[in-house]
Amino acid sequence: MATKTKRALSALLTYWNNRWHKPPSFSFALLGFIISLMMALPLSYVILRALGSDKAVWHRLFSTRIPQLLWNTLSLTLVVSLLTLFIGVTLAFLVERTNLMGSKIWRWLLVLPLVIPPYIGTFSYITLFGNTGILKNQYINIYSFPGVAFIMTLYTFPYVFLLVSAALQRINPHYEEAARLAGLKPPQIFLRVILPLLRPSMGAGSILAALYVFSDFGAVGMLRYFTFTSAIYTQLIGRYDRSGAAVLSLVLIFLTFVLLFWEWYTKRNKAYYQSKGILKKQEPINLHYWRIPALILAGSVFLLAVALPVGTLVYWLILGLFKQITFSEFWKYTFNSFLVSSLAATASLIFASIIGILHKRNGGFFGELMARCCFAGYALPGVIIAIGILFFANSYLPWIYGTFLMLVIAYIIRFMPQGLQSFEASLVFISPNLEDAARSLGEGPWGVLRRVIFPLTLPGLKAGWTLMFISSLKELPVTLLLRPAGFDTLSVRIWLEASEGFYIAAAPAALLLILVSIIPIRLIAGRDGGYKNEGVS
Amino acid sequence: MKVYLNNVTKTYNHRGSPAVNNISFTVEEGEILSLLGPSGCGKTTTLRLLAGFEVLDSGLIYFDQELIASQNFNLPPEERNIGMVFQDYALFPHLNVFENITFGLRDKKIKHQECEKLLRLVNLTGFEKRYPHELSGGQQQRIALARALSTKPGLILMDEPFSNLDTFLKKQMREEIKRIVKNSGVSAVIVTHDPEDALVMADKIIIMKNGIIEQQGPPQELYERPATEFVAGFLGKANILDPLTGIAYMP
Ligand SMILES: Nc1ncnc2c1ncn2[C@@H]1O[C@H](COP(=O)(O)OP(=O)(O)OP(=O)(O)O)[C@@H](O)[C@H]1O
Ligand SMILES: [Mg+2]
Repeated sequence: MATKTKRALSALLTYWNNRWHKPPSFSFALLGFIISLMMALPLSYVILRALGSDKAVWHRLFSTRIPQLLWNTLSLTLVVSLLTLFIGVTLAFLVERTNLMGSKIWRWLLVLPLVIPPYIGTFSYITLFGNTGILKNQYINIYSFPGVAFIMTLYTFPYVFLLVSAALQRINPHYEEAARLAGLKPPQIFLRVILPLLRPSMGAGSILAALYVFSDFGAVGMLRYFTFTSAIYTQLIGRYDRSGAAVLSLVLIFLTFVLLFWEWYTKRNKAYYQSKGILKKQEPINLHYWRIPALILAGSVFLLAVALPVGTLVYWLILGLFKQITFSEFWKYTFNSFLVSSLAATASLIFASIIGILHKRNGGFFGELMARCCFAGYALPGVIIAIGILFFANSYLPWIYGTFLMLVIAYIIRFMPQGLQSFEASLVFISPNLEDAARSLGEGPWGVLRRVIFPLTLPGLKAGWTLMFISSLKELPVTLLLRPAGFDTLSVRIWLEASEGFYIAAAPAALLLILVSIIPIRLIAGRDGGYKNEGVS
Repeated sequence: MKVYLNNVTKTYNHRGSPAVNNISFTVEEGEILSLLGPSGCGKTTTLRLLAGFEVLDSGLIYFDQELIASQNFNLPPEERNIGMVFQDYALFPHLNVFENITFGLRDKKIKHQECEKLLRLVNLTGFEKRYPHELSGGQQQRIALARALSTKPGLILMDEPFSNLDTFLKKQMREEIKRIVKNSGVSAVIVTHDPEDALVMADKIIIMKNGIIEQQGPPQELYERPATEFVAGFLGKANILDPLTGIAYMP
């Protein structure tokens, strides 16, 4: 009997050891399992809930709402993807390869739209052209398909722009020179050589834009355009129909997975154009009399996406200062925002470090599994995460239901992968030899963590914290769905004022969010401030 | 410290062949042993088994009389009292020379004194405040050696200590390291794939191939009486002149 259990135990131990590249201690692994379970739970729960809901619900939704929603969502996604491709590729080419005036500055300015949460951009446009907007006229109706597509394009084209620019910088110039020697003219070279080489990055960029359209709630919600996210929200808030919301969520999950699969598929055979080493600088193409139109294009994109919305907000702020609106409320919801966001970012950072080490250092099947689980909440629209948590807390965790802890948990699930990514990015630069060296000098595993890994990954940890903090601060749909009654945050206020028409009150919140969002751009630019021989040691 | 390995086997992927297959050897007190062999023959694996970074599948490892690793027991690396010099030196980039060398010292009071002593040993007095990236390759290596010796280990392990150095520096460092190791009286296991390193430095050489030991013995013996063609061929690559005849050795 004793030998039998002993043998079973030893078989179990072998199984355990084989599922890791380097087995961690049991307590550390247990921590990892608990975290990844928490990260994957809401998603699984929504799926279960939807699959378990009444056939009648499915039937009703499929015969009434879903066809229309599919059409709304997919047509918007298609149009926005095409527009972002057109604008993104054109601008990237102009900036990287031509003598466009001030191309160095445009490289920065054209990424700035990413800093403005689309719902804030939408808010600005509503204050200008909405029902009670100051420039309202019969020609421009932003509560329409073209209006929604226009705004979504403004805030998603930088994905394409960034990826295509990066690809353009890496294309081996020898391809183009070979095409030249083969007698092709520049326009032909662009169409027959460059464009095919850009296809992977164009694909990746437009899929990012499409994923964004799937997940966006604020812009479509404010413009009263029904995609899945806004429909799920009204199903839940307006009609108290939980099964319906779950079913719609499942359809959205399915759509998202199709896109993610597609993304994976296109990435699979990426980067055949990459060239290693230092490339010689290419001679920029002379635009001649196209220089002015090119400049106008870049300028108007920047104007519409950044200058106009920010200018509008500043206008409202100044107006507010003149009318001497009191800011006491503003400080209260700023405090709320900062409180939940910093709590979430800090907890996420701890979780991310644990999962990151289990993933990158202990590796193997379990390490991979944990990391995968953690990305579930990141890939999916926030609305779905919120619903999952809402259902789950309602049934099993009544003591956190209706407290701001729900918000904190939701932000962790939603944004922890950002911290994980930046932690792992700095972790891979630390040679495992450094850890072994510390062990050989007498440090235990926790000492290695404290004295070697932590100080060396500090830049990555800081960047990760900031990213998660800002993402939580800007978050809208999860916050709307999960906040306790009366618990207003910056983003919630903007949403509410947009519908109530009290624009002056929302301007400071919107501007603050934009200001805070600029920080990561600096962080990303200052990334190379690490240790000089990181790569060697 | 005396080291015994007894029929040690280690397999990484359970379907694959063993990286180290049933090897046995001893390292005497104060002896320099060199593990020699072509790429992938299991040298690093053997070293990491000694350090405790890998867990063996079967066999026994003793340090002096104490069992430190067996099929179901593995003393963690930090409790083995060993020093290790890594191929890439693994100096902590966020710490300066002083902090690197004293990393493993618990007693604050002796840190300065010890560091000074070690720096003198490796001929780098006055380098306390430098950071690793401010040192040349040879200097980094000597700091790594000083750090490995800081905890007064009984055994010091070096994995390809010369692979990042140019030929001239390498010749110099071989002598230097041999002197330092002999002076401090520790036992040492040095992994290399360059026969010349082994012939110059080692008291005993072990030649490995595909995870098994082809031959072991003092340099002179291996060199003069290679047991297999493989050993002869391998040492032959050293292109060393026969000390007796002055003619290049041909197997
Ligand atoms: N972590 C690992 N996981 C799986 N296989 C490994 C691992 N480390 C080493 N191996 C395999 O074990 C065998 C022995 O590797 P080892 O690193 O000990 O060789 P080596 O003699 O040090 O070679 P080199 O001179 O190239 O450093 C090789 O076949 C290698 O592929
Ligand atoms: Mg090796």
